[in-house]
Amino acid sequence: MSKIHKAFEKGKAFIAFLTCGDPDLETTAAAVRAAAKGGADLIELGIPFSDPTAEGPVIQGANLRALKGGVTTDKVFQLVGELRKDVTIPLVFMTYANVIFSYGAERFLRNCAEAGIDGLILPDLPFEEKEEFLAPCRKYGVDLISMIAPTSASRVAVIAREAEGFLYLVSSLGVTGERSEISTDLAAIVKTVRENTAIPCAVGFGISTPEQARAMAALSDGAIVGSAIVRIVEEYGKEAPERVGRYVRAMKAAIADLS
Amino acid sequence: MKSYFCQDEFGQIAPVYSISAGLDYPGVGPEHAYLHDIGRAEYVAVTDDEAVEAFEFLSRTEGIIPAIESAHAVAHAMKLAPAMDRDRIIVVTVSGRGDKDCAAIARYRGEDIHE
Repeated sequence: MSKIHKAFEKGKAFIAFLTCGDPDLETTAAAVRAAAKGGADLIELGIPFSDPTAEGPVIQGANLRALKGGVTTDKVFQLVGELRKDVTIPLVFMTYANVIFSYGAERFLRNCAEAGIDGLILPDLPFEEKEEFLAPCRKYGVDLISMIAPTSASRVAVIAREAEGFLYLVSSLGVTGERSEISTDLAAIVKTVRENTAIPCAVGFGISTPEQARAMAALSDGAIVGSAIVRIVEEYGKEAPERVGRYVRAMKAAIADLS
Repeated sequence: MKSYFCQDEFGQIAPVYSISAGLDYPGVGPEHAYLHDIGRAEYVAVTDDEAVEAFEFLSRTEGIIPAIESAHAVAHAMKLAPAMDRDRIIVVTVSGRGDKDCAAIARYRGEDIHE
C-alpha cells in the first residue's frame, strides 16, 4: 500500500493540482512547496500532454505552455526527485495513457517508484482497459487511482470495489474548469462507494471557492482543485507560488473543522 | 484498443497538416493499423502537390472530380501505372466527390473563388 492514505488521516483532505513546467519547472517546484506549506494534504502533478482530453481551457493552456517550454517526462521525474528532498506529503501524477504507453509502462512506473510518486491518475484510461497499467503499478507500489463520473451508474460499485489510493469523484459532466454550480447527486454516489470500499473518495472538477470546497468535502473525504490554482499560475507566472500558497491555506481552512 | 499516431519520443501527438481536411489528423483508425500489422495492406505517403495534380488530372481526363482525400490514391496510382503492363488493371476507390474541394484547390493554385 502506498502512503496516499496519510492524506486522509487528519480530517478532510485538500488536494491541489499543478501542471508541471507551467511556466517553468522552477516555478512548479516553488508552487508545490508553497501548496504543501499552505496545508495541501496531497498534490497532483500534471505531466503535460499534447491532447489533454479531460481538461478545460485553463489546464489545456497550461499543458501547451509547458510543452512549448520544452518540458518532457524525464524532466518531470527530475523535478519530483528534487521535490522529494523536503516534500513529504503524498504526490501523484495526473496524465494521459499515451505518455506512459510510449515511455514504456514498466520503465515509467520504475521511475515513479524511484522518484517517490505514490499514485497515478489517467483520465483517458477506461476502467475496463486498466490491466496493462495495473501490473507495473502493483509491481512498483504505485496506486492506480480510478475516477467515477456522474454517468458511471452501475459501474460505481464495480470501480469502488477495486479502488486503490483514493477514488476521484468527478463532480459534473464535461471537462475540468471552474463552475458556479455543481448539481450532481454526489451523496448517492458516495453512499454506493462507502458500501463497496473503505478507500477514501475526494470530489474534483469545478471547485474553486472555499464554500464549494466545504460543501464537497462535507459530502466526501476531500476536495480537489485544479483549474483555480492553474489560473493563478497563468496570471502571475513566476510570482505565482506565494499566491498559490495563500489560496491553498484559505481553501484548507474552509474544510479544516469538518469531520 | 490501440492504433498508430505521429508522435515524439515522449508520446506527444504531432501537430500535423494536410491540404485535405479528412487527412489532417495525426492517427489512423484501428482497422488500418491491423491491416498494416498483418501485412495485408501497404501504406504510402503522397504530398499536397501530388494530390492536387492528381485531382486536376482525373477531373480533366475523365470528368470525375475526386475528393481531395481520394486524389491521394489517384496520385499513387499515377506513380504505379507507368511501370505496369498495359493489360493489367488498377482499381482506385474514389471514396468521395471533390465538388466540395474546388475552392480549396483554387486557393492552392492562387485563385480566389467564393465557396
